[in-house]
Amino acid sequence: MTELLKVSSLVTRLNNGPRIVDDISFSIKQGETFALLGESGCGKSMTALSLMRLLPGGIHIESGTVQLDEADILALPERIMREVRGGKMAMIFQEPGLSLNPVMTVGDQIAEALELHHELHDAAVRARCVELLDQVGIPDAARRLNEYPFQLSGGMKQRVMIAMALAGEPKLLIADEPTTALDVTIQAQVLQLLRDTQAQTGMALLLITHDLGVVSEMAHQVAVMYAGHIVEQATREQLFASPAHPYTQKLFAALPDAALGGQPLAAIPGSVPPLHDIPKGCRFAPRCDKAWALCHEQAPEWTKLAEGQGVRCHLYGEGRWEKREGEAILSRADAPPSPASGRGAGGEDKLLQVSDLKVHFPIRKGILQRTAGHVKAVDGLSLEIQQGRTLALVGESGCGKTTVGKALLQLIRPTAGSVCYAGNNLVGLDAQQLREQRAGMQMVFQDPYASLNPKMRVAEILQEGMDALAIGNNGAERQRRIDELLDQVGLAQAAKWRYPHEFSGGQRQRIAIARALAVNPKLLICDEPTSALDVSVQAQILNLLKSLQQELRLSYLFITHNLAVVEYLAHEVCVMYLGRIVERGTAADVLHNAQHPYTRALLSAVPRIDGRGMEVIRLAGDMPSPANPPQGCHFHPRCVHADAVCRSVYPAATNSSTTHAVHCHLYGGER
Amino acid sequence: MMPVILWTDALIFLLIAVGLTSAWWIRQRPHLMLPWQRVAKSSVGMVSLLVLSLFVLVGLLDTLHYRVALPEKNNGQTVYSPEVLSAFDALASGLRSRTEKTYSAPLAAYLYAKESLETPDGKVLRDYPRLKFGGAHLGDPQHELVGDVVKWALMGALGGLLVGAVVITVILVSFRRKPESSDVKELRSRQGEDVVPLRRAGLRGWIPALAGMTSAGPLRALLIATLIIAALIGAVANLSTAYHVLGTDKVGQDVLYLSLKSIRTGLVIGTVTTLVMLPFALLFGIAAGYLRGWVDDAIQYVYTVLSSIPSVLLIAAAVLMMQVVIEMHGDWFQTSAARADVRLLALCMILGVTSWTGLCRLLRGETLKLREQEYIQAAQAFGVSSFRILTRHIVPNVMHIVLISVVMDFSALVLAEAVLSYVGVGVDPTTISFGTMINAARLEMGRDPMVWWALAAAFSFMLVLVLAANLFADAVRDAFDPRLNRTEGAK
Repeated sequence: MTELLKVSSLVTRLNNGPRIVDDISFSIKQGETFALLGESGCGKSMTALSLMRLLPGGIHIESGTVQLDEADILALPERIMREVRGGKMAMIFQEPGLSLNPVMTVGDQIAEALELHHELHDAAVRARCVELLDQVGIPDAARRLNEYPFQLSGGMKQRVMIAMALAGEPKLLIADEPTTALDVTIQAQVLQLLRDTQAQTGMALLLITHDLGVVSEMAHQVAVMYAGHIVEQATREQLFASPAHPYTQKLFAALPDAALGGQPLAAIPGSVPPLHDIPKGCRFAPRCDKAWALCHEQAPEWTKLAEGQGVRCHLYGEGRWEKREGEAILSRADAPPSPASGRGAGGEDKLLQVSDLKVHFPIRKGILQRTAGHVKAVDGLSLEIQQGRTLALVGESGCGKTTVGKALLQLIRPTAGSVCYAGNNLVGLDAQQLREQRAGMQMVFQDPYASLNPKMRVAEILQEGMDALAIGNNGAERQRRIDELLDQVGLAQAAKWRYPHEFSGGQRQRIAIARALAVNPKLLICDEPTSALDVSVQAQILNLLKSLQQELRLSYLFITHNLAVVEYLAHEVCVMYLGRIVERGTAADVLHNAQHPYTRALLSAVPRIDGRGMEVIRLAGDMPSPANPPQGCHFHPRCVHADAVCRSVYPAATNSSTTHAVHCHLYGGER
Repeated sequence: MMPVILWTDALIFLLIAVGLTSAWWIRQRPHLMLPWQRVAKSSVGMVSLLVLSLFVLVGLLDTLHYRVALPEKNNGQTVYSPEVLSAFDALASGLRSRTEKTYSAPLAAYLYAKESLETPDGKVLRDYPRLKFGGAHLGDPQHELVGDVVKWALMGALGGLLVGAVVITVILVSFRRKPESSDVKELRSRQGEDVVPLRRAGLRGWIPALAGMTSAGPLRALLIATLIIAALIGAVANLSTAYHVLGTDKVGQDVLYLSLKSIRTGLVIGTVTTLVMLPFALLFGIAAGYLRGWVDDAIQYVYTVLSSIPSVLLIAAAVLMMQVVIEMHGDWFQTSAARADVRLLALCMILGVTSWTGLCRLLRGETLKLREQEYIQAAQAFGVSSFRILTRHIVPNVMHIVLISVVMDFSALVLAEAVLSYVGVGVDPTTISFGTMINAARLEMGRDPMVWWALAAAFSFMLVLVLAANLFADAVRDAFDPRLNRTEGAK
């Protein structure tokens, strides 16, 4: 195999500013998948844009060479470069919804690329478009050509993006976080598609991702990036068998896993250093527990380990073997014994009891705004949470899980059903009565960047709830409480007088948690609190949530799509599909003995870093619209086991054990 | 002398009082002071503030109205002149009283129109007559004029520079003395030897000390701007004692005087209208966006209807009605100035009531976006009342839009006044404003040779005023945007 792309000593920097991509070298062979792995802000996307020479204003390539097929990309005139883009290398982006032009039909957008690179016309273009859409697995391609992006689902849009990228028959496809915005089942489809396409066309793939699971499924070669440097490069097998750089090791350790039980995750303290404040010496040194004086003074050189594996770390310099071995043993031993395991510690009293909750949004049509139908976002949901326990509500986007969270807090008024918190039904209370109950239940939101008012200082943010619910008698008492809260969530008290934008994502999420805790709630509704965060920061937040639960005997309703997090944190799990719970049980029941076909598909679609994992069940198609759910079992159009009964009758709950229930005809009495 | 407080004066005093109170309030709170300290660090912001404050100063002087007591008495009671003057009129009494017969060009010694002149030997000549005041001291203007103008200008500029330098020195000294008396040690440690020559040495020590101070960004810019402006004012002031710097208008009034008088009208229309318009726009905009439902429907219907009526038509109708009321109740007003003033105020009100729709729509849109933000939902989850959410979360986050559009509107309003004066429904004809000046320029521009200076003067004064306001608003907005600023550890 020949080397298709060869990048050597590439440096990209802000004009007169810091280096964003710092001395990067790698090469990709034909037909190979090269993964660039790293947290946000590490320079992964900038590397990709440098290769395409599509850097935004104010950033330029300072030095280095990029060779694609023997041609020096950085020396080409712009006119030829335009042919290279799309023709030899193509790129697909993270957010499929934003990378398609909303006012052009899908066909026109693909045709645009085709006409540029192949000089095809009219009928030939159309035929090729259909062919491309077929290739990326879009059913009924000829009809889809005339549709607009808004008529397609997220997964479909990403497929169209891939089709557009393939239109120029590129030799190298750069995929910048292609599945981050997609659900796991859709992610599995897209990754499979990328693999199939690669096998067919023999193109090389540069995959940019932060997800170790995706890397383990896709990559042949992996480079780990940190603060502009590649800190480690290896084949997938080498990397997953023996990660060399402390950062890589930490990334693996930070992944939540049920096997850890009650132990805290090995979070990496701090966050990626900002560009203008890159430490002297090794860039990872401030967060590295193996760092010693040298690490802080001198930047490590690239050290070659085995064939194909290299690392940028002082530990692998000459004569450092002993140090490394000693440290490694130590680091494994210092994991503290798990403190009184959170599991089973819950009391018997039911803190929250929800029965038959329904949230329907009317669809209005016509001039008179008559109700033409309902979007049944939540349709008859029941659950209960005991004090000190965690219930995870799992489902893909659009299944109504966020609506559940808001309906519980009465931010959205439920259409029917009851929400009993500590024995009081909250549904139908007026604003005043509701306020008396507010303190008990609070919410932590998904996006720490949107959940804090940018114009208020931390102290004001924390005080707001206390003021509204009259907690604490006077100003001084509240200030004391604020200090206490900041301590609790692991922030310095000086943080009080700062504005939210001065904090990183993880710190902001800590502030959001402190805000919720300010009113002494017993139940926290966490709506995907870690999905906007990097893996290492996610571990910090999960650890915090877990320790708060043990300290304060909090209950959590943990709304998420991330099954790994569920495994680590939850006592009980409910799986939601299209507004209804399809399977419920203890974490062990649901995750290790899943019964509903949907749960199984969901579990199998999660990319695993250890390569174990069960036989993969691919789900066809997307989730149907909640405005028009299918007859019978909601899942039957995507289910391989579906038969006539499934198509006509919604299955009742079947208990397979005292804690485990499933809504599926497969387990019903009649089968 | 009897002080007179017209309606707009009262409103301006109210505005000043509110401004001072909030300044005092902010001074007490260091975290509120912080953004203003950032404004103080911006060169552009401080220079535009300087220019702006000169305009405001002229406007304020022009706001202090009074009536002069006449010498004769009526049954022992003092009789006051029917003419209402202002402190500015008193200061610029020379400018006000030196009126020519008709048009004259800037810095001219001759009238702009030919007249029949009788020479001493009895012949009748048609020629440009000499001005009564402009360049009256010259023997042979045709040859001496340029040199004389330059001389007067230079002398004035020098005097201005001198005054400017004195003012700067006084300010710098008082600036430095303050911390010195409070804590000499700390200051010394902070500024090193810098302090010593200031106190001990005379002039020689001053220069390096000044140079050291001026190296800091805004201070240096401010010093330079002050000197330039002082020189300019000096030159203009000196010239204006002997010439009409910006020429004269149709009835021979000095255009410089008219321009300076127009500033108050412009400021009143800009600020009072905004004051009237802002509550409508802010309240209705965010209420519609946040509360949705029937409130949104009602407010939307109102502003859609209001903005679909041609605004000039609406304003004209309202102004004409108001005019009729004023005409019918002549006894309400003691002086013609009071009547003109009420008309100005009414115009502000009408402009305000008809012009809130644009900002309201913007704010509604922004609020619609904000209300879906998670921090609003977090506040709702705490049971925070709608009113508090509006004031604590929504208003601060739409303030940048308000600030920008208010400053943009300021210039639009000054122009609107010109347009309305053109239609004949603007300010009272006796009120001096940029609008009436521009309106008059309609005929002047059509003359041959063209009379350009009145329009040019109005244009450049408005340009400087609006530009300064825009730049200052920019600096303020930047200083208040937390995303652009890292807190330097308040507290």
